[in-house]
Amino acid sequence: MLRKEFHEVLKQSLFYLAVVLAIPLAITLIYKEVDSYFDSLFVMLQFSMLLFSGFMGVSLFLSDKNQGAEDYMLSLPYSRLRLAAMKLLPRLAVSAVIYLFFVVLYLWYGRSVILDYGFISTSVFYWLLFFFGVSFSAASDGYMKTIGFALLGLLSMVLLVFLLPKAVILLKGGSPSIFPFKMDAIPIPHLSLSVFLLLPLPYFISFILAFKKWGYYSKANYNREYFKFFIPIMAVVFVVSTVILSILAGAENKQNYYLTSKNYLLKTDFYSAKLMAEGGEVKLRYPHGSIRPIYDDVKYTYFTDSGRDNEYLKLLRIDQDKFEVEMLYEKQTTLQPNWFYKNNIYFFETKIVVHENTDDSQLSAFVFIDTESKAIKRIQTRNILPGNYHNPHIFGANRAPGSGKISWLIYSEWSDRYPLLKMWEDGKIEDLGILSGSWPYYINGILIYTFEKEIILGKIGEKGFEILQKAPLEKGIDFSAARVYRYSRFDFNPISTKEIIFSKTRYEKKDIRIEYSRFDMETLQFIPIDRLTGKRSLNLLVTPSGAVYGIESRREGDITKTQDTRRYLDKIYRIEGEKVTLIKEFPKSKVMQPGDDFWLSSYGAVLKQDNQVSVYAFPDLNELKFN
Amino acid sequence: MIKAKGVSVRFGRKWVLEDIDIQLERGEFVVIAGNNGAGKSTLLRTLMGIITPGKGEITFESGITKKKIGFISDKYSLYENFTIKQGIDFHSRVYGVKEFDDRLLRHLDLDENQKIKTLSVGERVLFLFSLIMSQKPGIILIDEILHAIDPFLRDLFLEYLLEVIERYNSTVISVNHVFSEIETIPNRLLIMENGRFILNETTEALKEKVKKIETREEIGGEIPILYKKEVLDYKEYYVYPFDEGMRKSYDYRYIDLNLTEIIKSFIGGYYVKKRISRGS
Repeated sequence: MLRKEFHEVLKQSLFYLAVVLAIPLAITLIYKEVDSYFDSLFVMLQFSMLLFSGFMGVSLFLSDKNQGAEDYMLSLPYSRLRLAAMKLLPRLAVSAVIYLFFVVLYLWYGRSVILDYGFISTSVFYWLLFFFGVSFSAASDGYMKTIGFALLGLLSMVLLVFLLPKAVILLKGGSPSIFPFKMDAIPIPHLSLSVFLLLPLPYFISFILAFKKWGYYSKANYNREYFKFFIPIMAVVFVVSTVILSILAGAENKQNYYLTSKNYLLKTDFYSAKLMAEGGEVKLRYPHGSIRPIYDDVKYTYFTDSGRDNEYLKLLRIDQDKFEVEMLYEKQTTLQPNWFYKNNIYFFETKIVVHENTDDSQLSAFVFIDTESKAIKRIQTRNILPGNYHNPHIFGANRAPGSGKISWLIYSEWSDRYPLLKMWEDGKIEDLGILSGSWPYYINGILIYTFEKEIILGKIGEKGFEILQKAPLEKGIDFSAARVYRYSRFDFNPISTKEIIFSKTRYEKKDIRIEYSRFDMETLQFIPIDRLTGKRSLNLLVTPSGAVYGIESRREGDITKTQDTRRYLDKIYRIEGEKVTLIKEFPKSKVMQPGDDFWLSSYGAVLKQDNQVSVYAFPDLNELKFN
Repeated sequence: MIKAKGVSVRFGRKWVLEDIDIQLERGEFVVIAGNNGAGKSTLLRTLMGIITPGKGEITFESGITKKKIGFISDKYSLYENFTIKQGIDFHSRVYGVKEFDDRLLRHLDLDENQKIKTLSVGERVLFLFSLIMSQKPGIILIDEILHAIDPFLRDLFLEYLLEVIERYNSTVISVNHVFSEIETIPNRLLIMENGRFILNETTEALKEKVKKIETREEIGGEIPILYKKEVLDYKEYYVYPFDEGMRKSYDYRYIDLNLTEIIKSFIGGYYVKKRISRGS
């Protein structure tokens, strides 16, 4: 029997090869381009081998049927399994030889001419078509019908391949709706894609079992038996694949943490977000992981959700008393780019301004949101800003003492060419007549900016800008440390005028020395804070109470590989005027490993190292337990 | 030799064989008859192992493997692309035949290099039977082939069949509609109706139990009538089961029947019942 099958299959394969070799030759002769023979041969092979493999699969029993030998074949003194094996083996061997021929040709010649669907896709589909052909070879009597069944089967498997990531996302507590049909929807190592190779197995195993149990004398009976096996086997394989993938996905599932104003811990991963109380109780689940907390007031945590691939943009908030999520605003997704950065959303009292910044300046807009009434008003920037006003940013807000109306202060990234502006909520713009040589600040009602080597302080009143003081700007002063004052919230409690901190970077031969100074807004003096001076740069954090903290941290690992870098929080200082107090020195990690990181919010710090998560709340950085 | 117990086969939702119990001894020649669609061919295929029963089991006498079972299907199934020589070689290898018995084929004067698909039906049947003979079969299953071959080949076939039975004490199960040539051969008759056996008797006993009455009278329910037929102004009544006591009780002429007529009466009875159940 085996000899007969080999003989039959070899004849078919030789015929196929003859056609594959002959047609390109004919083309070459007709077009007289000798060099193109191998081009044509390779393309012919790459396309036709898919048909060949499918044919090899479906012809398992059809050749017997076409010869009228069904009864004879099934009455032969072999078990059904042996019969199937004797038919499968020659076809598998010949398919492997043809595939090897393709591989050799590809390696030698074909790389430059391979069709768009490439080597990997060709290989995958070649073998899938073979095995699906085999799996459905007993499903029907005719070649066309059987091929149709096999293709349907393959299509169903492709569907399952797309459903698998969705199932993983569901298992992880995420919402599968935001990942419509993306193969890269879940963060999994490439090797785990081999799990998808489990999916064809139920088709093949069901064929073996159904054929063993029933044979294929009555197609209706055979197909019924087939599905009786297929459904439970596929259910098991699908569940097992989902579980394996979800475990593997965990390895690359990066978590992020955020401590809220009411000391809840917001934990996000690829799939979902959870709000946890001390003790670990989950108070709220949000079915998307791609969120970014941006601001807390006393009651709410405001965050953005832009989907995994920025397919939508939403501004939402969590009510920390009711544990509910409320959407405040959704950006039109037709606008590109679709991102919200922290500094494109601005908060002042109960008002929010969203700057819809796009590549097309014609479409950019300011969106005014009232968090109490939920009213939204959108004004295109081209309608209110002066022509060509480059990349506007809001850097402060104020409530007019008389009218109580709120205005927002705007500067341009080319602020030495475009004046600072005041924007009212109805879109009315006032030119403040100020050109700033650097990023301006608006702190405690005082505007601080630099221009032509001077620091200038002034007030913005009903009648415009009034200069209060000027002082020469010392060379080397870097206002960057004060960026902490440039965050999006403009209604922090008043801070002491003596606690604005600037840094100065000195380059000493091969060394960099960073000096920190307080800027006294009354005397306009820079007073060095010796305790902070050193080689290491310090990050500053200002809490809503106005307290200033210095953050000392470091990064380990190869910074060019994001999966390898680790960040460690070393020390946090409280800076009060001249006084610098070490509040906390954090324990060193025992085993530094990828994934070690820390997160800071205005309310505390979260550390992850040695696979442990520790949470510390301002002002004293006492540890909170969330396990 | 061969035993089937509670064998049932379902195609789709329909049970085409139901609770088939059968036990055949070595050397028995059994004919299975019945109306079209009764399940005869399905039964043969089930016994052959081509169809798997949904219920029940089939067992064979020790020493009887598939290599010792020959099957001639109503489709004369063979690898048509083979030549005769290739067919013989293939069959011999698979069934472990050391020496092919070509006596039957010599009557046909075939070229060993001609393809099997070029053979006529009769030639194909005889070729297939030659292959089976070479197996020295313990069981032979024959499915409705006698009517398809010409009288000469039929005689030839039967001659060698009887030789095989005698030589190897083979059990033969034959599905048949035409019995003229084999009237005296079968030991037992099984009649199927709607997937079940309605009759399982030796031919000897059956000939005693089935009689025909020809009369102009209308016969009432006192005599068990299997089937009634009207021929001109005569009525033919097929009586089953007949017992000798009826001769005394009912003064009719009871005519002996041959196997063909017996089977016809059972099949006729089935169609009558079918008509009655449909209300026509």
